Amino acid sequence: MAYPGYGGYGAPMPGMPHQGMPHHQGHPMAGHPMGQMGGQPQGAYAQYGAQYQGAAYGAPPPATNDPMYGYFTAIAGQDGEIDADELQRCLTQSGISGTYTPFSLETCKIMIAMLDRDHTGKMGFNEFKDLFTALNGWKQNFMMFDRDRSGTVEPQEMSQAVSAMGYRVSPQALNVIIRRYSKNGRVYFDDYVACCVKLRTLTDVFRRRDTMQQGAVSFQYDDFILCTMSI
Amino acid sequence: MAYPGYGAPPQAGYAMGQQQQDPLYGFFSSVAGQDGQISAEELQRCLTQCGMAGSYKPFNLETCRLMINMLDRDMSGSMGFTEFKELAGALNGWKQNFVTMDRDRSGTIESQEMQQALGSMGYNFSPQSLGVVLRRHSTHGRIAFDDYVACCVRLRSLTDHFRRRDSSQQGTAAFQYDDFIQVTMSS
Repeated sequence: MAYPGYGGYGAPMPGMPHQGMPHHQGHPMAGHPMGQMGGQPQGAYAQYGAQYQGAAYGAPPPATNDPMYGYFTAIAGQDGEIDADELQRCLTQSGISGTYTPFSLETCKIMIAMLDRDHTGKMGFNEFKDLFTALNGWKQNFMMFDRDRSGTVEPQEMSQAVSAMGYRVSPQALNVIIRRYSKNGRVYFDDYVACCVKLRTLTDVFRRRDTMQQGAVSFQYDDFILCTMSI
Repeated sequence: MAYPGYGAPPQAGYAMGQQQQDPLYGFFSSVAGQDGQISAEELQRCLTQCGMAGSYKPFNLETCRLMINMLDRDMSGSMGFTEFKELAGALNGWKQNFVTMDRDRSGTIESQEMQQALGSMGYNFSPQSLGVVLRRHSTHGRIAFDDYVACCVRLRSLTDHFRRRDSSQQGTAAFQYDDFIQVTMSS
């Protein structure tokens, strides 16, 4: 059967170029959409769902002239890893949020959890780069729906943004998501990103256990807790 | 397979007269609107006003949202007084547990103590799952009261959802993707 929301797992769009590190000029990015993306549905950047997994294993050592490396090492301690507070500082300094409000500590916590493959509870440089790529994609998607640049989207637009990423879930599930991430009837950028982080992580976890690709998983209790409490 | 206990059992419903004599009702009704329901923000105010966190820092908004979700059987996103009473009962139980372990009154406990606390609540996780739970709910290697409560709330919610789908009570439950997303995105 067609996997519900297999599009939701980010079926990669053919011919999409690898999203490299953003061109950075050392000041906050203005809230303008990247010209080359045009008005296309952003199913493409869901591709980083596959991308980041590849990059995690056997990634080349970071280039010392990579501007991201500068931000990162300025904040990371001896162990070359950053915790949630440090990630929050790092992301704020990098200006990734542009004109949107900076990420909350809780959002930074789950960003770390999303990529914490070695279970250290902290984030290394390669994971940080993967995160940055994902964030750029999610931000572009958000900006497509935040036409008035208010930093928020309406519930309806949030549904569209979730669909645009390729997730195919019921209206009921969308309502749950919207209710969970709305404040005063709107969805703010930080909460939207938190939503993206959770959707991606939980979908990955589910898909890996759906060996028959039937859209259903039979969980053992302990494993269920491991999966759901990790993010 | 044995399912964990949660501390205080659910409270029975209140008759109207009894409700008004309940000291908690005063706190509740002072923040609840006409509809007798409170949002996460209002719950945060209510818990702060009635001193539920004691000498610990007040609960994060996110933790309050999780608390509402834990008891939100009608999926309304808000909490009525009966649910609030049930929450207060659970919180008192969890708090007593935490206070007992927080001997130096630092407002935080160690992983080892958290592990013991979970065990005493009846949870029996593998080392791997335990590690994941502890890492996600600690701040700088220690577990603050708010982290601890958020963890207890989430464990209870998720276990409830799981158990309702474990028809043969064998410790296995099947989830469709959509259902899984609904359960996990709100917990």
